[in-house]
Amino acid sequence: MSFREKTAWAMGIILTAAGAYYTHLVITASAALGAPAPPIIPFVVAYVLAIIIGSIVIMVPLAIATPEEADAPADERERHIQHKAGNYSGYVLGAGAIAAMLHFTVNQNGNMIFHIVFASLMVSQICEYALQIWYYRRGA
Amino acid sequence: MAKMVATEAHFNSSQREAEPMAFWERNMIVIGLWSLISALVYFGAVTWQSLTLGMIVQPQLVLVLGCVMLQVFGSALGMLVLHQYRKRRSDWNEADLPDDGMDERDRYVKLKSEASASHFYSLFFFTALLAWFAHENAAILFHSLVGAFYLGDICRTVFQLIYYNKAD
Repeated sequence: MSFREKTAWAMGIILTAAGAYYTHLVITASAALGAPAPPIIPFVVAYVLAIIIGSIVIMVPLAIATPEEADAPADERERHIQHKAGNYSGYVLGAGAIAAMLHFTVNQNGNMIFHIVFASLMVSQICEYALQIWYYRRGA
Repeated sequence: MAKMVATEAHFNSSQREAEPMAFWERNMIVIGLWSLISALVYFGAVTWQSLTLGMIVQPQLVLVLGCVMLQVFGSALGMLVLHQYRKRRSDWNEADLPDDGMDERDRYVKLKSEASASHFYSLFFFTALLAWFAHENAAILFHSLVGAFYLGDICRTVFQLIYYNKAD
């Protein structure tokens, strides 16, 4: 498995775990309130910190284990895979943001527009790495 | 020797001037310009209405759709005009191009610029979300998201123009 495929797996797992943690926090708060919880900044900070710490904990040992591969620039195939995955994940983000805006115009719920756009950001990032893995395995 | 260098420089300069801009490169300028016009119309209308009301105006689906239509139809019209202009060129043969009108370079530039722009879309959306904690106003968040879309779109256009003019 190439270094970049390993990093895609690592980032995918970190983002999924952090996203699940954030979603759990929001669902718990919403259940306690009996309505969609307002955006809470400590939850967002916790999510971002979880990603940063997770990335350091997993990526640093990966880079130390294979320093030559880590330092090498992406080859043509890897660049094409990154571009293709980044391209499609952008559509996921755009679709989520449009859905959030349509939801707001119908329901006028400001909390939900935040949650839907934030979820779109999380899902699009996860999709980017999932697509990278898919293309590494199946060919771009 | 100096004359030779001067002649060569003149030839290179003429060659650069004669080299036509790629069809999709021109299209991207048209699309980018209409994105800018549409953004100015949207935020002009929002600002004007907000000043009249004395508060941030609530999001209006009609205004958003109107601006999207303006962008789409304006871009389509501009591209149609360019296409007609291109058809008149003697050195252009439509049969040389694939069905989608893009050659391999066009497709590569499109893919790369959309991938690069997607990170900017994420950045703009995330900034709009973070700004929520400063204003806590859903209408401002909505307008910020519309602004993020426009900024992302303009970034995509800029990336395409950069990639058309810069070798990878």
